[in-house]
Amino acid sequence: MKSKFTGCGDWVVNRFPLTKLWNEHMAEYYAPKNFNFWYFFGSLALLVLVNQLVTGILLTMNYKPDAGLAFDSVEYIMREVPWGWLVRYMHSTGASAFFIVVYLHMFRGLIYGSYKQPRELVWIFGMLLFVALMAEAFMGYLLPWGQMSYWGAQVIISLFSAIPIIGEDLSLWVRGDYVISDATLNRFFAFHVIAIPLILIMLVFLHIVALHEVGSNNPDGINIKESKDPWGHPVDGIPFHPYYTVKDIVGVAVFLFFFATVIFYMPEMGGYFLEHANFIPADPLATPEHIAPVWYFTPFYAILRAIPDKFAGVIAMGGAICILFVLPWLDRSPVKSIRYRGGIYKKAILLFVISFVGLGYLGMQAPTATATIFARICTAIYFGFFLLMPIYTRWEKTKPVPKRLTEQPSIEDRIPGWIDTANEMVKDVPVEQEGKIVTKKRPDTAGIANVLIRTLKRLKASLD
Amino acid sequence: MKKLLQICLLLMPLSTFASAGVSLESADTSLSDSKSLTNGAKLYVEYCLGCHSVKYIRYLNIADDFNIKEATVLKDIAPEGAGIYDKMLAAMNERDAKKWFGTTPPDLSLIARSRGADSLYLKQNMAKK
Repeated sequence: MKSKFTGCGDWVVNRFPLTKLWNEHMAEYYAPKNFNFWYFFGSLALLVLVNQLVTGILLTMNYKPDAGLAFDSVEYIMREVPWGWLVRYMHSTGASAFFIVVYLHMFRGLIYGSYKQPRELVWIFGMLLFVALMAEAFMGYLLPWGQMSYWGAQVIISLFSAIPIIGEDLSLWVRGDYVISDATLNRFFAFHVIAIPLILIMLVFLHIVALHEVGSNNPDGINIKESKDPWGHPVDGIPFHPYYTVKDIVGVAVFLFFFATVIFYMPEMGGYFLEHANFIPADPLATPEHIAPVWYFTPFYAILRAIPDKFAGVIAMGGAICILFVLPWLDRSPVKSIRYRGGIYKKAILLFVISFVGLGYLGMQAPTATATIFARICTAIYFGFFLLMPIYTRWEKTKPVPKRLTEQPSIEDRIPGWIDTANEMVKDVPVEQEGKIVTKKRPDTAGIANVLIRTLKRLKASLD
Repeated sequence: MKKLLQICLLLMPLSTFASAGVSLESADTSLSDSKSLTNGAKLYVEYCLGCHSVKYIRYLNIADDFNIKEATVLKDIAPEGAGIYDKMLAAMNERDAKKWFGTTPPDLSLIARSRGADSLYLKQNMAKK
C-alpha cells in the first residue's frame, strides 16, 4: 500500500518536472572526473551569495536608511541587537570573501580556457555577474554611513562628471543631490537590497543553465563528450551528484575554517575588509587624509589614477573591465588549457597576475611619483595582456592535446618526494648533549642550494 | 639582486609608515584587568565625558563587560542621577558645543576603534603637558 507521503510526492511530480530537473542538473549531469582545487570556487561563490542574502535580510530588519540614523543603527546592530555583531561581520566579511572567491573563479577560467568556444556565453553571464557584484558592493559600502563610505562614494560618483557635455548632469542625477546625501543613501539602499540582488540571482540562474547546456570544462581543456560508453555517458565523466556535491562539501568545510577565523578574530582584517576611517560617522565638512576604496576595487582604482587625464582615466578603468567581456574572441589559440599552451601564454599570464596584484597594492597606497610610474607599467601590462592576445596566441607553439583526461599525481603520491627533498636539505651533525655524543639533523647549505636551484630550473621549465 | 632588494626597501615604507606621522607610545591597555578598566571608566566620566560622549555604551554595559556589580557602577563610575540603562552622553549639549568649539567633540569610543587606543593615550598625554 502506498503511504500518504509518497502520494503527496507523486501529486507534485505529476504537475512539476522535479525529477527531470534533479536528474538534468545533479544526478545525471556528467562532469569531467578530473576537477582540481580550482573548481571549488564556483560552488563557494554560491555559498557566499546565500550567506549575503540571509545575513542581509537580517541586517535590513534593524538598519535605518536615513542619513541621520544610518550610522547609529549600525552601532545599534553591533552593540545591542542579539547576535547582531555576528550577522554584521558575516555580511562584511562575506563581501570580501565573495570577491576573493570570484577572482579565483575567474582566474580558473583564464588558465583552463573555460571562456573559449563553446562556453563564451557562460563567460559573458559570468562577467555580467562580476559587474553586478561590483555595483552591489559599491552601493552596500555607502550604507554604514562612515567617513570612507561617504567619501568613497563621493569620489566614484564624481567620476561620471568627467564625461563631456552630459557629465555634470549625469552625476547629479545619480546622486540625487549636489553632494552625497540622504537622497543618495536611500536610492543606494533600494538598489543594494532589491534591484541588484534580483539581477544577481537571475544571472546566477542563467550562468548555470548556460553551463549545463554545454557542459563543464576541465583542467585538460578537452571535450569529454567525444568519447562515450555504450550507454551514452561520457567515459571521463561522473555524475555531479553524489561525486561533486561531496567534493564541494569538503571545499565548503575548509572555506568555513578561514571564513570563521576572519569573522571571529580579525573582522577588520587590518583595515582591508573594514577600513579604519569608516568607524567615524560621515562628515561632509571633513575629508579623510587618504581616500582608498576597499581592496577588491583597488586594481581598477590604480588604473584610474595611473592615467593623467581624468576622463581618459575613467575610460581606461571602464575599459579594463569591458575588455574582459571580449576575451573569448581575443584568444586565437586552438588549445584551451594552460597545460598544452605555448610558453608565451604562460609568461603572459604570469605577468598579468603580477600586474593585477601590483595594481591592487598600488591602489591602496597614497599616489607618490614612484608609485604612479609602477602603476603605469602595470596598467600597460594589464592592457597588453588582452590587446596583444590575438597576436601572441596565434604564434604560440602548443603541445599535443590528449584524447582522454590525464591523471595527475595526487597529494598522497607527492608526499614521499617532499620528504626526500626535506631530507636533502639537512645533514647529520654530531652534537654533545649531557656528556654524550648524539647525531642531530642540522640545515645543510649545499643541500638547500641544490634544492633551490632545482626548483628554479623546474619553475623556468614549467613556463616553456 | 641588489637592485631588487633596493626596490623592496623603497616600497616597504609606503606600507608601514603611510599614515603615522608621530610614533605612538603604547597605552598598555588590558581588557582583562577589571580594576584598571574600572579606574579608567571612572576617570573618563570625571574628566572626558563633559565634552566627549560615548553614546553607544550604556552604564549597564560597563557592569557586564567589566564583570562588576551594577550598584558599584552607579556609585563609583556613573555621574549622580544616572540610571543603569542610560547611555553615556556628554554633559555639554550639541548647540553649546557648536558655539564653543565649532563642532561637536568626537565620540571617543569611535576614535579608539578607528585610530586605536594608543592615539587616545597620546592625546591625553599632550593635554597633560
